[in-house]
Amino acid sequence: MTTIALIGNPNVGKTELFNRLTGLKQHVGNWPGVTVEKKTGKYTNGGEVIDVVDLPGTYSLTAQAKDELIARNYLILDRPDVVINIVDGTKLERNLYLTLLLLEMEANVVMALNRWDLVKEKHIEVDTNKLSQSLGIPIIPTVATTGEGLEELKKAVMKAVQTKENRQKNGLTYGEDVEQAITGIETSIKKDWNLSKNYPSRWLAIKVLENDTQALDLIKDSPQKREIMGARG
Amino acid sequence: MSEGDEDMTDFNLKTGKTLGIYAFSLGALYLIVGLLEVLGGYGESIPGDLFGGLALVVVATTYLSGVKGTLNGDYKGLSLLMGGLFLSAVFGILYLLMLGADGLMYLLGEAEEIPGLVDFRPAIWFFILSLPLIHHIRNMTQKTTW
Amino acid sequence: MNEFSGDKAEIILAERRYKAITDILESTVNKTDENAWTYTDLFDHVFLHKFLGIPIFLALFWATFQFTFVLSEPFMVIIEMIFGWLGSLAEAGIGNPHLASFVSGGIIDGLGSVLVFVPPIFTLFLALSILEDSGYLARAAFVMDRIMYKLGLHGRSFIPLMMGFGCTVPAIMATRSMDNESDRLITILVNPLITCGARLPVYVLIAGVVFGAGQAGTAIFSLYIMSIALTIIMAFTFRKTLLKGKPSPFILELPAYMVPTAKTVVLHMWERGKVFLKRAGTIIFGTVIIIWFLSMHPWAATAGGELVGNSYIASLGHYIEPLFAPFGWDWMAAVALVFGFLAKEVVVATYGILLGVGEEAVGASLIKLGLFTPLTGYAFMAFVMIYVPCIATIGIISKETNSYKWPIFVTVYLTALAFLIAGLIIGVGRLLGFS
Repeated sequence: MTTIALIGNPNVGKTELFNRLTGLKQHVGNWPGVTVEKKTGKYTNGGEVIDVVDLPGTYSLTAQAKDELIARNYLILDRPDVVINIVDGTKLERNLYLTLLLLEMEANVVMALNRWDLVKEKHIEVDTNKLSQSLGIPIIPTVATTGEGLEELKKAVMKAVQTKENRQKNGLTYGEDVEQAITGIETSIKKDWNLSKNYPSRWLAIKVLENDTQALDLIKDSPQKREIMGARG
Repeated sequence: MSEGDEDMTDFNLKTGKTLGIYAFSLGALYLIVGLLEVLGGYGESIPGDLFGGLALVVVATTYLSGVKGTLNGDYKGLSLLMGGLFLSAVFGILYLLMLGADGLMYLLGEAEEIPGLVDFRPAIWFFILSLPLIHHIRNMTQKTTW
Repeated sequence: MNEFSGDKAEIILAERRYKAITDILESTVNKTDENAWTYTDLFDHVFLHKFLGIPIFLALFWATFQFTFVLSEPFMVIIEMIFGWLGSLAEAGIGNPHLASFVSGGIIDGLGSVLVFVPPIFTLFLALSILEDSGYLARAAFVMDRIMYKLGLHGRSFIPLMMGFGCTVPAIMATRSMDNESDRLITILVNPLITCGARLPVYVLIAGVVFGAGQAGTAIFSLYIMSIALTIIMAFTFRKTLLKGKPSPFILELPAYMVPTAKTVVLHMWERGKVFLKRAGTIIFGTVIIIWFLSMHPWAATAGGELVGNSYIASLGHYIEPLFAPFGWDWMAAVALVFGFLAKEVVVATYGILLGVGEEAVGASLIKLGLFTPLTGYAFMAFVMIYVPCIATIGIISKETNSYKWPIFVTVYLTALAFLIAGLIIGVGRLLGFS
C-alpha cells in the first residue's frame, strides 16, 4: 500500500492538484482530536493504488500552530512513501523554505513546480535541472488548472517510491559552528535507542537546538536527556 | 518598485502629459458634481444625494491624486488613474442599471413616467467620457501580466 | 557551542535557511521582468492606498447596496404580483374556508412574503461573489486589518466575519482556521453582530416602507455600517475585559487579481443563496404554519381570519407589548420579534400573515396602517439586526465552543445591546424632533 502526502504553502494550487490526482474519489474527514479538515483520496498508476493525503497548507512546520503540528506529525510518525511538495513557481523564494524543512525531516520529496504557465508568462527563467541538483530532488513543472505535467508527476512519484531506500539524505549544511552544535546533540540522541528508532536523529537534534516545544517534550523522558540538554547548552 | 532610476520614467512623458490632463479634467468634473450632490443638487439631472455625492468625491480624489505621478511618467500615478477608471465604470454601470430598473418599474405600472435622457445621472456620462482613457491605457499596458 | 541556545538558535537557523535559498535561486532562476509592474501591482497600489484605501472600500460597498436594492425592486414587484394572483385564486377556488385560509393566508401570505426577497438576497450574494472572486475582498481585509489590529481583532477573522454577511452559521464554522483560542472565541462572540442574509428581507421591507425607494438603499447601507461598527466595538470590549491579550501577528496572502468568470460567480452566488431557499422551505415554512394557526384561531372570534386582532397571537402580542411600547412598536411588532427568534426572515413572514388580508402587498399595508415612522422603523431594523441570534446560530456556537455558557451569554448580551441601541436611536431621534 503506497501512501503519498501533498504539502505546500496556502494558495499554490494544492487543492486543484489534489482534485486532478484523485478526481471524485475523495473523502473529507477530521484529523483526530482537532477540528481541522483531513482530505484523502486515491488514484491508480501502473496498476498500483496510491493513497493521497492532503496536508493543511502551511508556510512552515513549527510546533506552535495547530495545522502545522498536524502536518509535521503526519510526516514524522506516519512516514508517507513520497511527499509531493507543491511550490508556486512565481514565488519560489517564499515557498522553498518549507521545502528545506521537509528535506530536514528526511522526507522523500518530489517537487511539483506549479503555476508553470504563469512562470512562462512572467518571463521567469527557471533552470529546473540545476535546481533539482541543488536540492537533490526531482522537479516537475505543472499547471494544476489544466493538468499539464500531471503524468510526469505521477511517473516521478512512482520512481521515488521505488528508490526510496537508496536516496541521498539531503538537507542543508548550516555552517561549521552550527553543525558542530548539531552533531554534539545528535550524538547524545543516538545513544537513546528509542528516540533514534522513531525520529530522524539529525532532525530531532536541530529541533532541540531550536528549543522546539514538541522536541523538548519528546526527549523529556529520555535517559539521555541530561546529556542532550548539556550538549545543547 | 524601481529604485534610483530617476531619469528613467515608466512610460514616456508625452503620453503622461495627455493622460494627466485628461485625468485632471475628469477628476474636476467628478468633484464639482459630487459636491453639488452633497449640497443638495442642482437642476434636473443632479439630484441631492449625500452618499452618492460622497462616492463621486472619492472617485474625483482618486483621479486627482494620480495626476502628478502621471505627468511624471510614473507607474504609481498611472495606477491611481486606473483605480479611478475602475470606479468610473462601477458607478457608470450602476446608474445605468438603475435607469433600467426604473424603466422596468414603469412597465410594471409602478412608476409614472418612463425615464428619459434627463434622468441620466452624470456618472453615466462621465463613464462614457472615461472610455477613451481606458482604451489608451489598455494599449499602453499590452505586455502587462496579471 | 553554547552561543546557539534557545531563540538565538531558531533565528540563526532560519537566517541560514533563507541565505541558502537565495544562493540556490541566484544560480537557477533569472527574473528578467523583475521590476515590471503587473496589473495586480498597479491595482494594489490604489486599493491598498494608505489614504484612499478605506474611502474606496466604503464607496464600493455603498455601490453594492444601491445595486442590490434598486435592481431587485422590479423583480420583487413581479413576484409580489404572482403571489397576489395566486392568493386570490386560492381564496376564490378553495371551498373549505379553513383550507382556503391556510393556503392563502398561511402559505402564500406567509411563505410568499419571504420568497419575495429572493431577488435582493441573490443580488447581494452575486455582488459579494464578484468582489471575492476578483480578489478584491482580500484587499478589503488587508485595508480593514490596519484598524482591526489596533482594536484587538485578528486579521484572520475578517474572512469568517465577511462570511457572516451571508449566514452566521458557516461563518462561525470558518473560525476553525484560527489558531489562537482567544482570537477565535472573540470572533465567534461578535459574529452574530454581522448582519446576515436572513435579516435583509426585514431591512428591505421596513426601509422600503419608511424611506421610500430612493433612500432605502442608503438606509440599509447605514445599517451594514452600524453592524460593522458594533462588531469592532464589541470585539474591542471583549479584548479589553473578558479575553485580555494582544492578537497574534498575521500574514495575509493576497492572490493576484483576476476577472471573475460568470460561471464561478453564479456558482458561488447559488451556493450561498440556496441556503436561504432551504431555510425557507423548512424552518420558515414550519414557523409560518404555527403563526398562521395562532392568528386564525379562535376561528369564530376572528371570523375566519378577518379580525386578526381577536386571535391567540394578538393576545400574546398584547401581553408582550408593554416591553416594546417605549420604542413605538405595537403588538404585531412584538409578536414578529418573538417568532423571529427561530429565523430572522420570520419577522417578515409574520407581518405577511397578519396583514395579508386582501390583495395588497405587505409593504403597502404597512404604509397604509402607518405602523412605523422613519424613526421607529429605523430603530426596529437596528433591533432586528442585533437581538438574539437565530436558533441555528445558537446551536453552532454551542457546538464550536463545546459549552452551554457561551451561547447563553451571547443571547443575553445581544438582546441587551439591542434594547440599548434601539433606545439610543429613539432617544436621540426624539431629541432631534422626529416622532
